[in-house]
Amino acid sequence: MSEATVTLISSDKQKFQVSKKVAEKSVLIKNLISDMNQDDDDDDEEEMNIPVPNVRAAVLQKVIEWAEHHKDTNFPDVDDEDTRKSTPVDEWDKKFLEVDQEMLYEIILAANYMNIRPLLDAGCKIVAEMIRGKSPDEIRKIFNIDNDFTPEEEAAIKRENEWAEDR
Amino acid sequence: MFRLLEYLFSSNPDNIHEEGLEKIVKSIEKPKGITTHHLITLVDDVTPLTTLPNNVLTRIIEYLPQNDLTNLAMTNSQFGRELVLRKLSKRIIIKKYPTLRDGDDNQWYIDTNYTTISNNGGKNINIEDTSSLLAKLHQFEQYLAHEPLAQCEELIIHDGLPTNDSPLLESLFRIVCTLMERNGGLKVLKIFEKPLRLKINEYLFHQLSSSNSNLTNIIVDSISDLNHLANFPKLRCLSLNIENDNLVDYNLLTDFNDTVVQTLLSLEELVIIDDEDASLRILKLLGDLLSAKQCGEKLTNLKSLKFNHYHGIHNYNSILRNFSIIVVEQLINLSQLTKLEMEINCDESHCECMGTFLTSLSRQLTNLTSVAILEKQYYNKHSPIYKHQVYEDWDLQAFSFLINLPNKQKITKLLIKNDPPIDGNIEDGLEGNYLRRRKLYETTLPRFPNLQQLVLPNLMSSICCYEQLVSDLLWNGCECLKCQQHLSLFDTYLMTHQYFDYKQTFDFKDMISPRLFGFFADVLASRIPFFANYSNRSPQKFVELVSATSPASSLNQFEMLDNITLMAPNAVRWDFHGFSKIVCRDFKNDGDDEFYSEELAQFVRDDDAKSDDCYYDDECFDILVQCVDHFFKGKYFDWLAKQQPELKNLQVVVLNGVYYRLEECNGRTLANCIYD
Repeated sequence: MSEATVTLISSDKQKFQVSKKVAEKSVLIKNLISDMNQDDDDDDEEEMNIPVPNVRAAVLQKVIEWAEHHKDTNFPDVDDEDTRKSTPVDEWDKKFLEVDQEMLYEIILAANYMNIRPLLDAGCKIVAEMIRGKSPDEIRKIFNIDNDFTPEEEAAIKRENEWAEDR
Repeated sequence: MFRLLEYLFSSNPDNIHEEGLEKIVKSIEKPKGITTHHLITLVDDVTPLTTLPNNVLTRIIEYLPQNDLTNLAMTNSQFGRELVLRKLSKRIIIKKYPTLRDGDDNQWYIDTNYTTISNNGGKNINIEDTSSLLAKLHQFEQYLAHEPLAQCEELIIHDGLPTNDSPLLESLFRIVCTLMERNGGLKVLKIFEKPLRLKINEYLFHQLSSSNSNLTNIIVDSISDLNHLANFPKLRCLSLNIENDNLVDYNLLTDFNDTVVQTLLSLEELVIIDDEDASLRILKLLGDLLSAKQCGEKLTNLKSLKFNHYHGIHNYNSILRNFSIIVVEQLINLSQLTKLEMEINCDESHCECMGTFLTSLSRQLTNLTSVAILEKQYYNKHSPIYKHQVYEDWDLQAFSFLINLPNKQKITKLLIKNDPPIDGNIEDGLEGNYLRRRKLYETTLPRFPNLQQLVLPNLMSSICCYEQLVSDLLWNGCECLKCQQHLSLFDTYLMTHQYFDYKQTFDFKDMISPRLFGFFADVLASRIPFFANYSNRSPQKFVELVSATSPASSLNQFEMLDNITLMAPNAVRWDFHGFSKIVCRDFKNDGDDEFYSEELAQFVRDDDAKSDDCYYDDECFDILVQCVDHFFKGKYFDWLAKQQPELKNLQVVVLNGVYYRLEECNGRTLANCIYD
């Protein structure tokens, strides 16, 4: 018997046919499929088209690539924050996320929208790694953050948070 | 990195040819976490990080340790005024030692779980001088005053803080009161330092309105304090620390009110630490209490149990000395327990109570996922050296218990702790005896196929009891260039240092490898954040710290030990002096007999310990940890790697304070040492 498939449609109307198992790595899509199956009374296998309006084709393709790779992976309990903390980013994921910052953000946003917690976590860990060990100035430059503090406010923030510095 | 940024931000981006840029990028050493691709995008106007939704930013922040959070807070008000603020004050731990941070690219995020307030102030701070910690606490108090909305859900105050330092204790008291009285209050409050705990419990029991309390846990120091538990409607975890409490004196029907029963019935975690190592008598009292109040129920919600019990030399526990499964069964539905920790032993000759107890216990533990079994030895001053057989006998009973567990397949966390002497001095410490004990591990561990976390918190202390092993480490161990260079340093150390032998000759003797590695192992183990009473054995102090009856450090009695990998280790070091009066002067051959007795050895003071030209100091500690890491890898991880697929789920191993994460690489299991 052939594997059940669904078609994901990106925001720029590109279609991606993927196996149901792969698509269901996204909790959003999994729930949609479940709802559609409940609504659909007859047993005939119809082609299932699922729009993913917030994700453009290039990003959706990356997300599908990730889901294909991890289709048989059993991720640790996503609700256990402490387990997630002690789990490093998978080597393959690290390589996979070696993309430019814009794409990295878009993958993170897509994972957030499509509710793919392991991919969201991996992306967030990569961004956190980029922040680690940097001075405030470096962080601003790398992440294009606008400094909206006055020098006095900046000094006050530094003073207020001194208790939390463990250097 | 700086070169690139300066170049990029001072140049007109239109003038930069991508090929040239690639060359620059490739020529620069990449900082951690930034790939070549990430750097290239710096040329463009990247989307600001602040445009990501708050739930994503919150998640990114979750993976940042406190020093990076304070840096991020200064970049922009969105971080500085909201997101970082929430995270920094959410879970706080106050302790003497700073937190050990991991090396490059390890992505071990446990140091992001808590914000540490420690006595930190640079590498060479005198850790006994807590002025730096006091200053930090004052800053934290000011922060709380300035940020009335700052919330803290969990506060842990470790032991080891000087209890005679009243400004420090007063500051800690004010902080706890402030956090308790805030809207929402603390959910978890753990105070391991007894004088402070007594003061705060007094406040919690008598001054805090019960409607204010969201506390889910409490540590009490007397059975009679159970009557106050009605103040904590959300209580789920109870720790009983019992010292000098005569249980016979309690009248179960009149001394306890009915709310005690209700509180007990709602407990999910029960920790009993009896100073007389006879926790079973307290379980019996609680069981009798439930019967007396005619509720006829067990602690049906209990999932975690921790207790200590010892049947042996002392006879002051007249209520219940032998191990007895009946008292446990009377109170607890053992098949519901998921976590069990016990520090136990029976050294009564010809008594089999512990073995019988463990056999009955193991059969009923059908839902266990985490188990910790710890050995307790009483070191007798009159015969301070025990035979190897004492330790092997305990091992045999402990491993028999583990093998008999009906649900070995479900166990994910395992901790085994022996209780060897601190100086590694035992009788019959022969290699063959070590190999027999090792065989127990080799045959038992593969029977736990779902094991994810293995902690042997004082493995090195046990190894030190077998001189051939530590001599191998020093002279025939790892052959890498680094180890060859570093280990020769410690060969010289042995030749230039002496220790006072409290056990046999009562004289200074030349250092030997078991003593060196024994004391070293004791400090190394105290990296694990739950080591208890460390203040009494600080290697920074010199005089009268270790006697003939000193065991290796013990674990904190109040913390469930499966939490070991949720809290980053302590950054502790040792300067290779102190302990058993280790000195780098030749006292033995001075021709001066004034030190030739235990009493006169008291005259050896701090000033005598370390001569000006001795170059062994804290820095050498890190070097020796690396050598021990290589020794562990050769001795144990090579074996572990061959145990696939039996131990394929093993992820984290902690050996005597050295932390490893196991990773699969090209079909092989590699042990990645996280901190060293």
